[in-house]
Formats: sequence, C-alpha cells, structure tokens
Amino acid sequence: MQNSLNFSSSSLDPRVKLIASMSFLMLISTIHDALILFISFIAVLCAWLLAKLPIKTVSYFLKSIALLFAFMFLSSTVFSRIAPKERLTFIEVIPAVIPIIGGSGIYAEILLASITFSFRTLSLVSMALLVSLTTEPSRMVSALRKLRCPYELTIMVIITIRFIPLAIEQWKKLAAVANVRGIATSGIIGRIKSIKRLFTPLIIHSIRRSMQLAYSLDARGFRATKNPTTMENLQLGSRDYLMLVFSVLLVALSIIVLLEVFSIQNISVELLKLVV
Amino acid sequence: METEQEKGFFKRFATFDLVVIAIFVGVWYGVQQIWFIGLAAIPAPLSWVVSVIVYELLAMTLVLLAATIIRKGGTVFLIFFLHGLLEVVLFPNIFSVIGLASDILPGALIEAFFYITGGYPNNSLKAGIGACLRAVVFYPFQLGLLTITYPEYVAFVEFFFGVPYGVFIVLNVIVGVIFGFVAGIIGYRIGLKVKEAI
Repeated sequence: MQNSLNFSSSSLDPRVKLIASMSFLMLISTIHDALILFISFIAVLCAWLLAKLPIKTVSYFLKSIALLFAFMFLSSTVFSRIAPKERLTFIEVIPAVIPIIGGSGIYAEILLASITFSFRTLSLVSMALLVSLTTEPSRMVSALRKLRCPYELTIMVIITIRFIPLAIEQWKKLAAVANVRGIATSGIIGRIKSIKRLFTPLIIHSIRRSMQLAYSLDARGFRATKNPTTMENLQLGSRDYLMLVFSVLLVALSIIVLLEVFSIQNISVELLKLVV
Repeated sequence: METEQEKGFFKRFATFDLVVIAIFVGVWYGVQQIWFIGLAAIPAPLSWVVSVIVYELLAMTLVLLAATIIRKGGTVFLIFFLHGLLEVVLFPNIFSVIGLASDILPGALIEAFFYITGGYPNNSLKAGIGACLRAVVFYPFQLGLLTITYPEYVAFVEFFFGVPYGVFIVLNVIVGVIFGFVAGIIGYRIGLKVKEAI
C-alpha cells in the first residue's frame, strides 16, 4: 500500500511528526468527554485531507476505521462494566409493547462511555495511520539516527522493513508450490502442518540472503567509518518549528485538563441530561 | 584503532549476525501478518488459542534458531527489541509502545536465564526452558495492560470463554509455555543443522 503513496519531500520532519502525535495522544488520553473527542477525531480527519493522500488510500482506510468504530462501539456497549457514579438513565431501544423482547434497552451512561472510548481509539488509530502513511520508512529511520539511535540498529531496522514484503512474497510462493504439489493447507490442522513444510525452505532462503547481504555490506564499508553519511540529511524548517510549538501547546493543554484547572469533562453529560 | 561503532553492545556482533537477526525479524513480522489475516476465518474463541500456538511456535522457533546460529550474548534481547521497535517505527501509537515494552521484558528474562545458567543453550532442554519463559512474562503483562487500555475486553473474554479473566491469563501462560518449550527445541535443532551447513 505504501509504495503507491507519493511521499512529499516537503512534508514535516518525522521527528516532529512523532512528537506531535505523542502530544496529541497525551491530550486525548486526558479527555473523557465524548464531544471533545469527536471534535479531535474530526481534526485528525482534516489533517488527513491536508496530507493530500490518494483518494483510494483514504477511502480504504476510512472503511477500515468505520468497521473499527462499529466493532469498538458494539463491544463496548454490550460488554461494558463501567459503573456510572450518577443515576443510570435507561433508554428503551425496543418498545415494551412488542411481546417477549419488548422493553429491552441500554443505559445512557454506558452508551456515552462507549462513544467516548470509541472516539478515543479512533482518534488514536487514525493519527497513527496518518503518521505511517505520510512518512517514508527510510525517513523514519533517518529520524532514529538523528535521535542518536545506534547506527547498527538503524541499519537493522532498514533491512527488516525491506525484507518484510520479501518474506511475505517468499512465503506465498512456497505455499503456491505446496498447493501445486497437492499438499493440502486447508483447515486449522492443515494450516499448522503447512507451517512446518514452508518454514524450512523459508529459513534456508533467508540465511542465503543474509550471507549475500552481509558480504555486500562489508564490501561497502559498513562500520568502517566513525560517522557514516546519509542520503538525506534531516533539517528542521519553519513549519516544523511551528508544529513543535503546537505540540507544546497540546501538552500544556493536557496538563491543564489533567489538573482540572477548568472543567471540560462534562459537556456531553450535561447535553445528555438535557436530551433524556 | 577502535572506531566508535566497535565500542559497546554491537561490538560483539559481526555484520552477518546483525543481518541474520534483521532478516529473521522480517520473517517473523511478515509471517505473523499473513497468519493473523488468516485467523479471521477461524471462529473467535478457537482463533485465540490457534494464534497463541502459532505465534509461540513461529516466534520462539525463529528466536532460538537465530540464537543457536549466532551464539552471542544479547542476541535474543536484540531480536525482541528490534521486533518491538519495528512496530513503533511502522505504526507509532501507544499500543506499539506497550508492544515494545512487552517485547523487551521477555527478551531480558530469557537473556538473564541463559546468562545465569552459563551461556547460550548447548542442549535442547535448556533451549526449551529458555524459550518457554517468554510466555511467563508476556501474557500477564500484555493481558494485564489490556484491563487498563481496553476494560471491555475483560468482560468480552469472560463472556466468550466463560472463565474469569485471571483464569484466561493463566491458560494463556500454560499454552504459551508448552508451545514455547516445543518451539525452543525445534529452533535449537534447526539452528544446529543450519550452523553445520554454513
């Protein structure tokens, strides 16, 4: 999916993106109001639009996000064990006039808690997705280098990222070969047994690749110099500094909310009381 | 003259060792993705058990396989750390940070076990015991954290499996220990053969 994306060279520095997403995460973790969390989610969606991602990608992930929301909301509503501090407001979903199943419903407070939880998770997931989709893995690795991560570790991360699709491709090829030879891989037992058959050639192939890659790295002077140069040198621009200031504001707001300097926690509860 | 890169933790590893670790983590991550997509076809309570078994077999076989080939202190920890770090790099969020923490803990515990018992395994039994230690810390930590990050999950599990959440964690540990042990032995044996071959 990521290959089809056009990673803009003028996008924010990955370090700044990480800091901003963590600040945002901190803020949404401190807020327990459904309405504010909904606004946060809309804000993330606006950021998605600003990122100018391909429509196909956006629609694919929006569908996944909608499914996630439905699952989260339903499971939270059905399985929630949150004990509301205040009185429970019962909302009748099926009218009492209907025989047998009539009169059943849900508690408004639990419904509100489910919406709150779902929007918090949605904001979190969509923010993380936005960071992953707009950042080329190699830029993320460069960010790790800038954050003083050991050179060997960053190289290992690059190799691993590069080899994940290759491992998947190899696994699928081996599975196809097994199918052609008439080896059944259907059913749970068949699937587990198939791992054993596919695993050995996959490992042999991986070891061969490792040897070739190790020779190539050594030939290119891996670990030969104290400070190896990189293809791209990350530099903070004016937009990055602006985003950093914004992140600091988000953190400050989180602290304010945490310390309950002003109460913004009960807007949805007050609205609910008005409605019900 | 010793360069900066030659100092510290990574000094002990040759380029080949680092590449093997990186590629094996890639295989672990890739196969794990294929498997978890496939799990959607299996009914929920059963898919959980299958995922524990498959994950344990896949992960610990690869870890012990790499450890047997490389046989240098810190290999297991590095594999787990790289796996956790990869999730943070590819999908940065609070759950991947928790994932990193829950990868570091078993890595450190297995390393400590090997260190205390006189180095990396030289027999199947030690490899198996070392491998099964992952389940001892991973499941209580990961499932315990879910009670904070996703409280509804507790009720979901109790409803679906019909057992208290504590019992569910213990069951996970038991299944994980059994299959971790098996995976450790398999990984060690394959590792020996691969080491001979290369």
